[in-house]
Amino acid sequence: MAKKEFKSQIKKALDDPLLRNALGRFGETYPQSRENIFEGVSFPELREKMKAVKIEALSQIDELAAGFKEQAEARGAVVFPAKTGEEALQYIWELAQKHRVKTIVKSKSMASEEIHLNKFLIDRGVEVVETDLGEWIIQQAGQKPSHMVMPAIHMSKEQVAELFTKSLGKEVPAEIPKLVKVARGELRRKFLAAEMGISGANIAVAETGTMVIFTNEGNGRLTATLPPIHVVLVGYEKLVPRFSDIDNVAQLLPRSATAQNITSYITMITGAVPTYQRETGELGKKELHIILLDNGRFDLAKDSVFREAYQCLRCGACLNVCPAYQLVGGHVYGHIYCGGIGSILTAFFHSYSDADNLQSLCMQCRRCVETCPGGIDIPKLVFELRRRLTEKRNLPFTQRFIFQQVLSNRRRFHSALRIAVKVQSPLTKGTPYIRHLPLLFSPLTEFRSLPALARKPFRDCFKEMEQKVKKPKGDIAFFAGCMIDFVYPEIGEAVVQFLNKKGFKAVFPEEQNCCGAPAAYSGDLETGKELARQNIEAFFSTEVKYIVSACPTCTDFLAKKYAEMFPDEPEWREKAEAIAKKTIDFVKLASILGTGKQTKPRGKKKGQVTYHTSCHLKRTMEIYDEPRKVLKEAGFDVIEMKETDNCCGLAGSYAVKFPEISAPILERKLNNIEETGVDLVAVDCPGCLLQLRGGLDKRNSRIKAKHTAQILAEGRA
Amino acid sequence: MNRKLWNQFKERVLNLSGEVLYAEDKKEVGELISRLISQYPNPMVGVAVSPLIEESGVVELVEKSGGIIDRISGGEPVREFKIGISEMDLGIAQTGSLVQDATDLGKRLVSMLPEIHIALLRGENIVPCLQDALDHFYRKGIPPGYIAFISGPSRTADIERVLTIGVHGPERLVVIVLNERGEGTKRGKKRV
Ligand code: SF4
Ligand code: SF4
Repeated sequence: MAKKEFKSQIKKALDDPLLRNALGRFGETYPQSRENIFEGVSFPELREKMKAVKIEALSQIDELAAGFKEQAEARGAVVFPAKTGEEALQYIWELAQKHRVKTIVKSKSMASEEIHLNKFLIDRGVEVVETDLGEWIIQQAGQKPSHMVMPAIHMSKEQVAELFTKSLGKEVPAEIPKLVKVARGELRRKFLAAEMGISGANIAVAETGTMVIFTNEGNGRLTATLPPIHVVLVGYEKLVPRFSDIDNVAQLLPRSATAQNITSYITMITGAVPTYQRETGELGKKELHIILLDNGRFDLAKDSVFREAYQCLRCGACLNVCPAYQLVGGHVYGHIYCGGIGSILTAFFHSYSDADNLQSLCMQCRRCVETCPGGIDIPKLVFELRRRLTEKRNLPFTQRFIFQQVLSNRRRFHSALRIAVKVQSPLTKGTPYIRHLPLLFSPLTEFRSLPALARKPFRDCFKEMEQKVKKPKGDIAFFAGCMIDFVYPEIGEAVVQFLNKKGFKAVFPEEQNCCGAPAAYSGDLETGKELARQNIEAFFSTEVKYIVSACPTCTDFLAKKYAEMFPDEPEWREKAEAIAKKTIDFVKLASILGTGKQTKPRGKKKGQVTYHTSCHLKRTMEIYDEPRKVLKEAGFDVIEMKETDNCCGLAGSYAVKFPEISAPILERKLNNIEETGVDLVAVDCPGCLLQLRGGLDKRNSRIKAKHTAQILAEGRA
Repeated sequence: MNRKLWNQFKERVLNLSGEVLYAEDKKEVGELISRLISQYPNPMVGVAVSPLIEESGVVELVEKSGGIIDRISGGEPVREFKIGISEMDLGIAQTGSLVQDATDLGKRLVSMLPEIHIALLRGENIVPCLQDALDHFYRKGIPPGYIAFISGPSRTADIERVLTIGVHGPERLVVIVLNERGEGTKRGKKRV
């Protein structure tokens, strides 16, 4: 899909009130229902086990496939390994011809959608009926699923009734139980008439040749039982070694997919079982055909990075919590597999170019990582996909120029910013906006005001700061990052004041530059590495106990990503690791240093504050309690907002690329902040701060957004 | 029958919108079935034959209470039943599931085609968790051809995310638990 068409799809989804409502409500309720259903069960333990099983399976994929084939065939099935989708289609078509099949009933199978099975068969004159209620509805409407688990979530009961009335030629009332009854009756006739049933399977057990199917409606059982021929289309990733591995999947899949303890039906089929022969009415043996589908899966399994996607159970949990998917749903994603994980699967099952739009919607918030039962680091994979795509097609010229010519040359970058400060004022009549900061420059002020570049960058302010430290305990180096250096130097000043108060002197290595995240997240890893080298050099020689950063994205880069960037350059990797050991996020440091007397409340409460949990703080650094503790110690009541760890919608340059998605995410965040009734919101990421302040300002809100460092600095004044 | 397992099982089945009845002997099982059948006018009833079904005289009872019996053992054309009756091999306390070796076609059909499914279960066959059921069927290393796990009636939330019972399978699932020795349980209140 071209970019323009993609944008118009997004607009269409966002403008559809039914879809917005349904997805929104689901997005709100799912996390809680999921949490409830995992109560009393250890999700991390189950996930680790699941991961181990999948990794084991991946390492013996050929043996498992051979074992499965042998076992299933010994029990009367026919197993066909299909290299491509085309081979699978041909196999089914020949089978259908041989048995003169006129009608096929299907129970939901993503693999069959992946190879466009329905269209293929319908084009050849076969009647193909989807029997999952949601799928049947959209099949009649001639649409595509808008959600992986709830394909017709975008339709109202009135629309469904209208559709049924039209396609059945009789009046059907818009009442859900009646609609369901009508569907039952219609589809039952199809089940009884069909000569072939096609389904997927959720698990394939190598040691016994067993296939396991989870359904709620019961259509899977009818598909497998009523027609005399059953074809199962199953991807290699469904293979597990042992029969006892079923338990692990059964514990995780229904809970993750629909927040159920268990689905209404779990069906385990081993080989061919008795069935009715349509012509004779006699009891006979079922024709059971199992197609093991490769179609890119072996390439995926061989890829050193993307093989992790092989651990995917297709549960959809990652979509259920994804802020981008929650807004636009499946239609926008266009392809069969949606969301962040969908972009990886699409790259292998279809093509890299098909995956491009999909991956661009990921804002790297890491929300999905917490919920994935396969233990997949989805954003990490998207990050890699982005890098490979960039390698293939190059960044747009301006972006490339900024990253490679300006950003990686610190002097050039910084003097460009200094010039920008001077030119911005006349342009905006005294309300200067940050259009010229390469990471954020954008004319988009529709949903939030943008702040000005600071008149004096932090690196200049720092030189003028007098650091009074009684009985110094040592030095701590400060990594500012672009946002603090050039937009919010006052946060840097607050950090320095705090450190002084705690008996530490702050040092600021002049040679430090942008941390490299914006370039790397856009897929330009080379520039990211160049910046990493500069910063590693700048800090390597400082003799300090800590390197503190007040921007979680920067902290993450210094503390984690740098070391990963140099797998084949041991010298740089060692240096990066040395830096990583010392790097700490401001709020974590504050919680370590801050338990002393100085920040204890002096009697009176300071008031109330609510806290926005930044994505990277919680999900890459696992910092969650610390800011709350620090604020409480400083004398504040912390009032939790709803969905505190939902993304604010900025996500680096995302707000520039997809303002239409970023805006509603921000709206929801602001509503949740306002709902607390508190007039101060604390946050530890300057990016989030920019986003929140801008949004609050646009609303003329009395609520102030501040960095925790500022609150601590003021709190002690 | 283990009282803890029974209590948990019952609670789970009810949570899944299923119904649970309790009987202390086969005669009582028969009475419960007769009462259930008499709630419907001359229903077509499919019965999958098994020892407990035979011993409880289900076939005669159905005929007496106005049901039209179809004894399913395969070889007959598929019929549309109103009510299906079959015996389950296991119950799972943790999930409220019923488990059955349903390789026999008749057993499969009576739990999937009708609107009402009456499932008989011996109380001592309630096991704690799903893994126990898997172990049970894997004992000989060769699982049966078709194992059915049934947890509550058939359900969907595909229209407006409203939970609706009874799509392709039964809309009513009644479990009759037979606790012949009457141990470990106070008489459960009967709800028919
Ligand atoms: S990281 Fe965030 S935006 Fe990306 S796929 Fe995961 S949940 Fe969605
Ligand atoms: S990536 Fe994880 S959460 Fe997403 S569908 Fe796969 S297993 Fe489920």
